[in-house]
Amino acid sequence: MATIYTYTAFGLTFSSEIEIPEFLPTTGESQVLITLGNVPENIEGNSTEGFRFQISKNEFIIRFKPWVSFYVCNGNSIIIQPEKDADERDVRVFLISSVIAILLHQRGWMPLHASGIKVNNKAVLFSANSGIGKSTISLALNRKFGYPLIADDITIISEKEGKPIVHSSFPSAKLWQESIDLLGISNEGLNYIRKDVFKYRYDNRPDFFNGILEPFIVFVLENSDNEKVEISEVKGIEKFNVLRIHIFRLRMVNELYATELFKLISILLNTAKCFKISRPKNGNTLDELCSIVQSIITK
Amino acid sequence: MKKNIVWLASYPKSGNTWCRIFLSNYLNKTNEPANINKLDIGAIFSSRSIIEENTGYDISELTANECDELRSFAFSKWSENYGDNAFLKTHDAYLALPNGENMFPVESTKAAICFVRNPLDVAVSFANHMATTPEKTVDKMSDSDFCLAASTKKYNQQVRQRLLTWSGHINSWTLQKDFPVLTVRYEDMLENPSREFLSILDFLKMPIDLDKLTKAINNSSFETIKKIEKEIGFKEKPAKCETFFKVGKSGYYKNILSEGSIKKIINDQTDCMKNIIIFQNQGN
Amino acid sequence: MINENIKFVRKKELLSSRMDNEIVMMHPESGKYFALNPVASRIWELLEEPNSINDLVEKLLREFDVTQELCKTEVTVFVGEIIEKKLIDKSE
Repeated sequence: MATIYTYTAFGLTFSSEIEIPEFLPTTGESQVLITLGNVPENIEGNSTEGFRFQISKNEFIIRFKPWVSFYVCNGNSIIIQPEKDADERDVRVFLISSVIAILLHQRGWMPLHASGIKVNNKAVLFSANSGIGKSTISLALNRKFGYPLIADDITIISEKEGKPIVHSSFPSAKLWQESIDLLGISNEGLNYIRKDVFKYRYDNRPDFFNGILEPFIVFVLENSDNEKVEISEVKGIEKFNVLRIHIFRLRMVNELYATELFKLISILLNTAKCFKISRPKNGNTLDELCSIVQSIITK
Repeated sequence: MKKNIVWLASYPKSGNTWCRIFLSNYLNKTNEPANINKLDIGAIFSSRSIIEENTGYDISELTANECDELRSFAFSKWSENYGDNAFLKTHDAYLALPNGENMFPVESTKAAICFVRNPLDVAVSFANHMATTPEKTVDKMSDSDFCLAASTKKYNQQVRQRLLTWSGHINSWTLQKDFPVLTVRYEDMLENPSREFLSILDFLKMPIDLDKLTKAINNSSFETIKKIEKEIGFKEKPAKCETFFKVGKSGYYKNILSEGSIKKIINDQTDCMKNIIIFQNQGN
Repeated sequence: MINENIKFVRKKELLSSRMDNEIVMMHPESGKYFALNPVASRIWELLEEPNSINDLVEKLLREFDVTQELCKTEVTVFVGEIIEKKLIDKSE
């Protein structure tokens, strides 16, 4: 009998045939099964095809050639088929981002491309495209002001009794060397996220909060060609537009979950304030950014 | 599938951006010079956001080679939103993937324009662009492993681009047989821009309007765009480089390059220089 | 030309949500989004019940400081647009 690992992440309990050291161990009954097995050739019935993936409302097949394939269905099951030379990190990096994100979509939840911290028992999120500094700002605020971390790359929004709730993800961040330098962290003992992808996996367990929070503020970060950091509160329809594009793997799911996502984004934005921060694409503006954010969240 | 991609291919600093500014001015409806920071003229083949948007993948989880596998699919899809000409700038050499499959979306390609400039002037201009010495630049131009955006330490808005050597780059584009290619020399563009831009429009079977041609040539003249850069900056300029549009002349290398550097370029790139008849202009 | 006395009403299947004083809507089948500015949002609210162009103009004139002529033009244009986008139906 193979070992079964039980973890909590994204507000769900996972029971897994592979070890996922990035997740927090837990006990109890699981809602999602992760097993090793054969991934089907095709999705039966109607599906849309993308680059090495197929998707329908309840099923998803993706092949990260030549390492590993995944089959995700009904929001409660993931089958992993690793190829013979696959490094376990190659498997996990895709599992705990794209693959689980699609599983969360299947459950009718909204995975947002955002990092987050806990401020007075509420969630403050930083949403942005890759590379703008989501992880760095959350970690910097954690180190400066002690706010617990709730997510690095994916933050989950779901609904309870008509109100939006934020689920924490798992206590691990992915950082470029550049961010490590900015944060003054040592890279000693850190692993790369994959064998040949030189971004670091940084465990932040002691500073992590695991649980459910009410949303407070969503900051949307973007790069600009200007020389100064600029911040403005976003209101009305623009709020909807700036956030929608940051739904995690929206370009894979397209319109499949449009109704669910519309409802979630609406209730989220009716509760949370939304600010847009533009930062110069060159130069170090991390301290300035932290002060601006701190002044808004403590106002 | 549309067959509308037009490659604007070149080794860096060889007139590619100039041509994009020209085309942007030729195609826009006003008489004002086009805003060089909002060039409404296609995209670049190394754009990370276009690759991510058209495939759904997160490139920071992939190796540079894996990322190359996404490019053909992504840009083929991207080009569907364009009409007769989907212009794509690229500094990549025309290479296949390691497994032999296409890295470039050949099925969606209409044609390519390959810009070529005297490598002695390229060395000077490229050194300014990379904020490094001409000597180091000359070495890079002879290095077949040379890549742009190859750093693994930080996020990059561009994906890695393999350039090959200066000669290797030009040969990869001008000798390929997958689609028609027009080779345009920077020196000819300087000498007679009307003739050269007309030949580009003609090659692409674009409607020819002589008034627009004159307007576009004036609005994309070196003096005009240098002035615009001074006023509003140029977002395609690397952070360390002082000005993108610096000299723009031919033969300027004589004031800058050491004899050793000149010899190295002529020695390493001689066949290709002969093929595109650069020696004629040098009096060699 | 749209008959000014025909009553229109919102399509039932549309999802809509208020963001401050603007409204964003979605057509669930196509996944397409539509955004309405504050005045359009008010018209949209009124269209929860069947209303004709004349009804709408009359009601808006009570709320907004605008000439009847301008109000009618804008309402007609907007109603024309949302008919085209299939966001409203003739009321039976």
